[in-house]
Amino acid sequence: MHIIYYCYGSAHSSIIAAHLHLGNLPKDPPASVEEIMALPDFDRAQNDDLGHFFFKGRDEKRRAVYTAALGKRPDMMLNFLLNLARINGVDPKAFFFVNALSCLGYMAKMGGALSRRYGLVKLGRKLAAKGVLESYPRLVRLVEETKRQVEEWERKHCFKGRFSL
Amino acid sequence: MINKLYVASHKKEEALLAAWGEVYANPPSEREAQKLLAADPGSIQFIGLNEKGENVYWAPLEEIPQCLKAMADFLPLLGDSLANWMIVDQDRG
Repeated sequence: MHIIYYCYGSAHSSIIAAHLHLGNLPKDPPASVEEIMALPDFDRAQNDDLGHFFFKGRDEKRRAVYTAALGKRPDMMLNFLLNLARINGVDPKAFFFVNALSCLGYMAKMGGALSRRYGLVKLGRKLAAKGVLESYPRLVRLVEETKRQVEEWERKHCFKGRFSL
Repeated sequence: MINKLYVASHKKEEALLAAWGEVYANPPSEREAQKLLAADPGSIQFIGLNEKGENVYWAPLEEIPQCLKAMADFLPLLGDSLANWMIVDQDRG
């Protein structure tokens, strides 16, 4: 089982979602701005990283968690990747692609753009972290819903200890 | 090499004709070509087997460099590898 949180550049929303999923960030009370800024991969991805996948770890059920930078055409990219899965005879439903960008508010997006696009790292990173806090409840709900859906899929498709992806 | 993938963002039709020409002696009928060209961006269409026995595909894409990076990272999760794919980017000629 592979869970892939994606956003534009794998710098902000997908990073927070993956860390929430892996238990590296608290859900309630929310993390602080300092905790978010201290994440080694928060607001770090470069333009060259667009398209890449980043393995972030395994969750409590040993599922692999990734972030992906799917750029400005994520629907097209997902269509392409899931077609590749079908060609390889792999059930595309074994991959949970989760759009984390939809959770992010204006402040985080603006901070992210200032830091990543315009090079105003100090200002942009702090603004992005504050913006992430504003969006935190939505990101927590996204991760909880993802885990619920993944567990439901596993109940339907996996035999205990005999089949895992 | 097992698979050959023709991709294009701007020259979709040229890429399709090149992929088709690798498999079939005659060009696609207009109806067949229009049907393929109407495929959603990102979809991968199987064209057929070429004379070397390789699977020939055609895909209309956007942001091709990003797609290929994603492909390189994603294929190992499927038990596949970019080493099994030859990519022909028609936009680059």
